[in-house]
Amino acid sequence: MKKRLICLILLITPLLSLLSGCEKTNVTGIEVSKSIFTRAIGVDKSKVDSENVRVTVVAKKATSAKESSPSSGEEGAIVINSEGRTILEAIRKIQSFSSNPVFFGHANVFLIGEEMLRDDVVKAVDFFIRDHEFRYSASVVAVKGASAEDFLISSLASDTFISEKIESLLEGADAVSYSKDRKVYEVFSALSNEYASLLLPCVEAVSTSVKTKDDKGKTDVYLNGFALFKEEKLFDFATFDVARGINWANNDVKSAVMVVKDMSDKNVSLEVITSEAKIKPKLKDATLNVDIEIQIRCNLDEQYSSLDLFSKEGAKYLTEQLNITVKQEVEKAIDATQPYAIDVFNLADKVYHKHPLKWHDIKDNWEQIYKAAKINVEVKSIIKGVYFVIDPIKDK
Amino acid sequence: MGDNMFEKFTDKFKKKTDSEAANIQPPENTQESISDLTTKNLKAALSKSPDFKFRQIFINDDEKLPVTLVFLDGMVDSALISDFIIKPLFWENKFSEIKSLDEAYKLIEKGVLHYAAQDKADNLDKVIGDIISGQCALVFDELKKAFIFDTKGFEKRAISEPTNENVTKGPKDSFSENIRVNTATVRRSIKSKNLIIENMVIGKQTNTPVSIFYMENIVNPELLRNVKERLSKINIDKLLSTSVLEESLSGNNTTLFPQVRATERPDSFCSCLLEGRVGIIADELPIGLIVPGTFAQYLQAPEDFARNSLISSLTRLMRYILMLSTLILPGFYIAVTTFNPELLPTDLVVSIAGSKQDVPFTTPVETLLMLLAFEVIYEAGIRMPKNIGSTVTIVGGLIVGQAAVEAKILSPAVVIVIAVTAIASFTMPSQDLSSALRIWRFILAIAASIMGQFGLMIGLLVLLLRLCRLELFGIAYLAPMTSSKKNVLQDTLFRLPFSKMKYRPDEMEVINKRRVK
Repeated sequence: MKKRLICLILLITPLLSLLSGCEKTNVTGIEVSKSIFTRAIGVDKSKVDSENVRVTVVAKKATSAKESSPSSGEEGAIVINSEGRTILEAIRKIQSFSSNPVFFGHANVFLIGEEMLRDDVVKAVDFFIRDHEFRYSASVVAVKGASAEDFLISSLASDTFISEKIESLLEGADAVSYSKDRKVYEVFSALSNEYASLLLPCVEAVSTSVKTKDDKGKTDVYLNGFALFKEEKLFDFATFDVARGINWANNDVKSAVMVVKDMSDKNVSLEVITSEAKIKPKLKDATLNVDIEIQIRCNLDEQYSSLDLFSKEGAKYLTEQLNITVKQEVEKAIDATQPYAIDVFNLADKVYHKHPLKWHDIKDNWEQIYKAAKINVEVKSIIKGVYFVIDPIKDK
Repeated sequence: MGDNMFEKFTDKFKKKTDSEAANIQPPENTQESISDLTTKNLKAALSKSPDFKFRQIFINDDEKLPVTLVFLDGMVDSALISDFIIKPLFWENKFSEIKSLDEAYKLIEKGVLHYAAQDKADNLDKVIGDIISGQCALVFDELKKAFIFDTKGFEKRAISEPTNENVTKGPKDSFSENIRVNTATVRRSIKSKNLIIENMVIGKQTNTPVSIFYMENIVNPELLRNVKERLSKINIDKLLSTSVLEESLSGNNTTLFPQVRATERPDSFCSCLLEGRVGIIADELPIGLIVPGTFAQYLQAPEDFARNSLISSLTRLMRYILMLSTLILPGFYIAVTTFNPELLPTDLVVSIAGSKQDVPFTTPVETLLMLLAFEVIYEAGIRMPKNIGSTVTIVGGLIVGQAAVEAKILSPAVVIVIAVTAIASFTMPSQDLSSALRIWRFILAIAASIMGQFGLMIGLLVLLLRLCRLELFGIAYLAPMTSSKKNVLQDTLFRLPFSKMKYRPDEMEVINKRRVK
């Protein structure tokens, strides 16, 4: 009986393949050659209806190796625009006019236009945090002075593809520490924290003076500073020294070049090798004192004077100068944020972890406490060495 | 119908009673029976084939003393027979004094013929068997007895270099067809009285001698008993190929994975015996079989034991990785290109997409087609005569590789994937394992075509479960990876220096666990 059943199944199974039918069997996924691989997504407010969002999707055209079509520039890119009441709606609408299905798993840069930032940043990132197709390791970037769409389109003309360009800028940000990469999951945790302020790295398209052959203006992309948020709305942009001041205190400086004056008032470059910052809040009754201690190790890398700086006195003088410069940067950052109750150093968390019980008493008027808090900055630095040459090149 | 059955039953009964009657009442004539050992009976049994030779000889040229020499032409060394059997029968002085065959028989029994391999026999069937296997019988008709002389001397292949399991450093001999040569080769490698070689005969028609090898002071007696029991249960008419033994030893024909290790190298064979395994060699098969085979063994190459342990360990590790890649690469490729492109780096996925532009087939179809094409080329390469073998390479390489890609029937990416899969499959030391992986590669590719990465994982889990369930003679197939004891992985993922391999494999449960003190 069992054998007969097996024989029957073995006979019937191959015959089933002959019953083709008219309905399409949809067991396979989407072919890789038929998908559009989104590399960057821009989110803006719609210009038509302020309630709507406008999504710009940028992808690189897939070309076979033999074709010698351009891999960069406007011809090598696919730009798709779509509008909807929500981002998902806008993205789904793309399928109604796009030649190929759009795949978002490779999108690693999310750009948000300034208008959208001023309106509500949560609207722009909620979907990317929630949906399964997007990467948690993608970077979220604020666009300064333009909509994400305009920024994307204007920068497509550059030689490097825009998503790759932004990625490399974010990777290189540590060399000057004027900004800092923010991944989707970091944005998620910052937004879900009631007291901390969100920081987003900020890019800007600047037209260069260099003229191309066809006399078109060329734009360059700059990564500089942070977009500061008060709750979920954009408050202001912090650039250069202010932005680095935030990074110093948040222990986000990996390297930096600090230019200070030596005894003869000539410039000296100090390359920061390591920087360690500690934020120590002290809560007494309802008054908050915060000590920010920063320890810097650096190398002397360039000098214009002919003084022998690599001596006890020279090093002491230079470190003092460096301490003052760094302290000024951090204080500038404090001045730019504390009066407006923007907690860029995540002080609330630090107070909570140090005084978990007291925190419950003060959390309701945290804003006042923070505004009134006294923040002391103390910088200690040490010059570890020079590279190849110790003495000044030019003798007295 | 009922009547029929009744008739059959009564028939059977009748036959039974007939045979019983025959047994009970022996024939009246006890003088000469068909089961007696006489020349007449031998002739009746053998003379249909002209290569059986019967030669009547008179001892000491005395016509009263006739004996018959029976042998199989071509299987014996004629010089041995004429010089050491016929000549002394005529010329030996001792025979001149005898009067009867009985005396002659006793003289030969005492060793007048100076022949080392000499045996007495009085059973007709045994003598026939011996003659067939190349021995020579000296039949004393009157006495119904015979002497058997081992005069085997047939043409045989010389011991050659192993063709499939080569090493750069190490012995260059391999097993040959002759079982005696093979037992001698093993004996030469293991010079110990503890090496026991037992014989048995398998095959109702072929009567093939089979030798069982084991180390008496190492092997687990339970394992030995089981192996012998299973071999004795083999009920088959011919033993002309190894799979007869492999199938009946493993007792499991539903798995693709080999459970009986086959090697053509005596040194591999001997090292397995010293691990406590049981070896089996059949006559006319130049292959040594070893039970139980465990998964880790099939990834050990003989070269591993001839090289520096660090280098061997790294190549061993690489072999495991290649085993996995030859198994899952086509399935993985299908999964990532049709279901899970987010698993690939962006630039790679874009270049794969670029290479697939204008290709009419979907990736699963394309990959399965290429896998099939590879199997065809592989099969053709084996079947094809050596001197036209290069045609396969040219046709396969040029047509499938280049023309198909240029005509945009296949994408270059899939050709690369299948090529890597194929090359990785050739690094497997065991062809048996390689063929098992071939089939599973297809299964995984189909699973991946239906459900992507998820299907691939389900397929791999099923494979893992099946491997975990396999066992032979109570020893897990995945041993020693199934054990958590210390030092069990000494010869699996890597090969430790020999000084560190102090214990024999734990799973073998041998009597004598320590290799060295």
